[in-house]
Amino acid sequence: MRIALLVVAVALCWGVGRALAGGLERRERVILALMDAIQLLRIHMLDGLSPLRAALEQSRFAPFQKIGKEMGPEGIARAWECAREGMIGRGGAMDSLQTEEISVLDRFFEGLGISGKREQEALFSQTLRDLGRLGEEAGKNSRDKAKLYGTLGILAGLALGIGFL
Amino acid sequence: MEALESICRALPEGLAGRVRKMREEITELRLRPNRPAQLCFFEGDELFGAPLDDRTVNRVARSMLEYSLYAWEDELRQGFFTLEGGARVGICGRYHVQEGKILALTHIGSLCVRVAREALGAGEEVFREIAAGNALKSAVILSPPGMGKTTMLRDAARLISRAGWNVAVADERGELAACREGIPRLDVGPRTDVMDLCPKHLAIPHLVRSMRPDIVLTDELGDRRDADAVLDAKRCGCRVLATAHAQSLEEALRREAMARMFAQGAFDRLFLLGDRPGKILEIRNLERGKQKCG
Repeated sequence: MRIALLVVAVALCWGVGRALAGGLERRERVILALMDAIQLLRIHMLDGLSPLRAALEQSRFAPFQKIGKEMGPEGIARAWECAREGMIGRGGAMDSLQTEEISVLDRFFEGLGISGKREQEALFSQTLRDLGRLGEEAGKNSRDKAKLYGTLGILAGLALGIGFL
Repeated sequence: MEALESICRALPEGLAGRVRKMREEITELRLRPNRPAQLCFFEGDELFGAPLDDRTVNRVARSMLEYSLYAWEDELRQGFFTLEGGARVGICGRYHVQEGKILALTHIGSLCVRVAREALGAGEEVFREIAAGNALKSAVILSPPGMGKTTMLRDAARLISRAGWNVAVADERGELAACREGIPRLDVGPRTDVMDLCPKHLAIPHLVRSMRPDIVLTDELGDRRDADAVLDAKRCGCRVLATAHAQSLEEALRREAMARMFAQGAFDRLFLLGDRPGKILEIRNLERGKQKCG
């Protein structure tokens, strides 16, 4: 009975550790999805020459589609500003993003659509570079911390189980 | 009226209201920073409201450009773009010029919005003249700006097409058919194919080669390349109906490209517009050099 309790405690604590690590993995996944959407947006905007709203709709990324729909006479930067809190807040589509990623997106939407092709190309490249770097960091961080949290979970479970025993 | 609505959507509320109220009379809307908006009518004009600040003019331009300056770069270099519904927006401001070529528009200055109108029946006289009998004739419509030659050409396309001929429209500025994603939004007829936002000298041979039209229509012939394209189409057995800016035939002949087209028999008829929009002052039979009406 005591051994079973020990096993359950270890499993539960390891699960908690995995869940914490999962949050970090999610950040990486969202960054990668964001980069895919930006890449697609770039193609629709600069190769297909679709107007901004249509290009956002074609990006196959729900947050971008929402921003496109909500874009009013104040332009895309304002639409992003209005939608941002809902997207990065708890339960939002991009709630695992951190301040650095949000700043990159702020700069991206500030410049999106308001200049010629060459400038837009530079904006896309810069944004993808920045997100790529942050995505790598997030990936490395999540791999390191996944091991750490898993190990800590097992140790905490063992400690708890030994305490029961 | 789709053209007017696409303009109003981008305007400040008060001005949009005024434009909607004057929908039947308005021909142009001119916006300049630190000046009141100028509404032009068939007769006269009006300066409306307080001066617009540069941010407002800029916002209107960006809104008309759908916040997508990158998508309109070529048009902006040429100084105009076309709205949904066919309204043409002339634009000027500060340009980046390098080695004698305009690279980009860097700051938006003032706007001149021309309201596109679909005037059914405006091309009736042109149609009757060039489609008399069973054979189509080639023709050119000459007029100063603002006399309705584009409206007349669009309606002529509709009528020729309805009468059973295949019509191809080389719509370089997107004003004739007001295409959206390649689909004409204005009525240019059931047998009409449109190639839009492509330079005329490229569009005309392409249309002749690929669509086998009975007649090619195009707006505002200008340079040597346009003349080459028109003469080639004529040699291929295709008729051409085109417009050009000029107050008279003599004035048109002062332009080398136009003179060459007339000399090589590109056109069988000439229509001269003037006095007021849509009024044909003169129809000239260029086949026999005979003047028909004055």
